[in-house]
Parts: sequence; C-alpha cells; structure tokens
Amino acid sequence: MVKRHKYSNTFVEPDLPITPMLDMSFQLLAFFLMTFNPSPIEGHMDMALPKEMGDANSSVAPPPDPTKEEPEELTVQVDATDAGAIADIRVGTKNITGQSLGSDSAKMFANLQARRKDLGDKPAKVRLECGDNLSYKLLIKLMDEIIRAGFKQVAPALQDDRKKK
Amino acid sequence: MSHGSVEKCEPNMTPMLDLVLQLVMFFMLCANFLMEDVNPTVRLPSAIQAKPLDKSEEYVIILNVNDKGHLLLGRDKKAETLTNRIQITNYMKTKHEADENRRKNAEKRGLPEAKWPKYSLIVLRAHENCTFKQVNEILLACQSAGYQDIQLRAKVQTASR
Repeated sequence: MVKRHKYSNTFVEPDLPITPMLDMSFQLLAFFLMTFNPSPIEGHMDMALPKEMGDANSSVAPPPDPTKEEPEELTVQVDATDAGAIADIRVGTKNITGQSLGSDSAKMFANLQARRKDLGDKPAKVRLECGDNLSYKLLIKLMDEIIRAGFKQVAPALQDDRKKK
Repeated sequence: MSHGSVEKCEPNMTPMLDLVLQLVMFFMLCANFLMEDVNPTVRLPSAIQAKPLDKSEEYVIILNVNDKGHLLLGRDKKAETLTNRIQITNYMKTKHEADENRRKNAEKRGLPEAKWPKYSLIVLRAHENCTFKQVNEILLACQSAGYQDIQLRAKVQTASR
C-alpha cells in the first residue's frame, strides 16, 4: 500500500529581512550626504557684444540688415574712482553726452526707465562705457539696473574704445 | 514558578526604510557627478536679472577669473594662471582650433552644415573684485580667437524691494 503524504494547508507568512536593506540604504545615504555640495544658484547676463570678424582690433563689422529697424542707441558713461567705485554717471545718446547724474545708480535707473517709456516699442540698445578701474561688481550692478529699466541689449565697453576708433 | 513563553519584540523597520529611501532619492537628484569647471575661489557678483542657465548647450568653455584678473586653469586655489592677453588669446585659439576640428569631422562624416556642432559658448566667471578693464581684456582675447557667444555669470539675487 502506498503511503499518501499529507500536504499541509497552513498559510506561511513570507518573512522579508528589512534590516540588510535598511543597512544598505544608510550606506547610500551616507555617501550622498558626504558628496552633497550646495552652491549658490548661478545665472548669466546676456551681452550685446559688437560682432567683429577676425581680429578684435579690426574695425570690420558685418553690414547692417536693411530690413530690420535700426535700434536706438543710448550711451551710459560711467567714470570710476581709483578705488573702483562710481564717480559719475551720464546718460545720453550716440552723439550727445548726457548730463551728470552723480554716482547714484538709482538716478540712472529712473532716467533710463523714463527714456524707455518715451521710446515705446522701438528697439533700443545701451552702450555702457566704463572707466578702466570700475569694479566688476559695480559693472554687473549697472548692467542689472539697465536690464531692469527695460533695455535688453547692453554692450559694455571701455570709455577709451570709441576714441580709438 | 513557571516561566511564560518569551515573545520576540522587533521594531517595525518598514517606515524607517521608507523615509531613508526618500532621503536617498532627494540626494541622488541633487547630486552632480559631472563637475563643471567651476573654481570655488571665484566669488561672483549678484544680479537680480541674471537668467537661469541653459543646460542645452553642448559645448561650453568656462573661464574662471580671480580677483587679480588672471585666468585660472583649474578648480584649485593653486591652479595655474594666465596673466596677460597674449597668453589668454593663445589659450582661446587652441580651444577654437578644437572646435574647428570638431566641425571638420562632422563635415567629413557628410553631415549638413546645420547639424555641425556649434562653436563653444564662453562662460566668464569673474571675481567681483577684479576691474572691468581686466574682464574686458579677456573678452577681447576671446573675440580675437574667434568667439562671439560670451556670457557673464552672476549669482542670482532675489529682489528685496
């Protein structure tokens, strides 16, 4: 007579060992914590550099596109002290030097804002002529204020560049 | 005296594992294994209008400039520096040659010009204490080498007014 095996129908609960998985997770967490390097968020400032073909010393520039409206050009001249601070700001047009606004960039901002309003939708660009010693931090601040005033195209240049050309 | 059966008391690890995995996911998403050529000694100026970075640019050359206006060639404090315009122009010309070679290879492979790799974008990270003249020298050196696409980097500042 064949012996019949009895199969047990009792339910067996699967046991998943969580402890090694947790251990591994802590290892990964420790690795990422040690390699985590929070840095300040960086952004970029667009510049409208004059397009020069070949050597920057050459004065050859691509011919202007006759189908596009020539943007109005404003000039912001900034004199710098020996320490790199702003000595004087003048806002004018391409051929006319503007009146002195002092060293406060807020006045420059107000002046540019008013000019932007007068220009309406007409495209315009600003040439920012700065003294040699002007601190780069202040240059960025001035570019920031010009862009906030509504002028998206800003071309920084040294004050002596135009005289050389 | 009879002793009762000993019951094993195990803490429930599942919620702890769940939380640890959440933390691991957060740090994994924040991890940046592809380190940019960013020199941490360069302290950037702040700007409210600084635009967020465009990560879609394929070829980017990051130029770090210290407070003396010298170009740093590395991420360390003691990185090699290029101090004058001629050295910087020569350095940028070698980079431009590499870009030209990349484009020539694409041309040899028979790709149309529209699909050739673009010239590298120049990202200038200059220390806030250097002068505009020093930064301008570097800009002119980049233009002399043939680069026109240049960006100035700044720390994004939230508007307080």
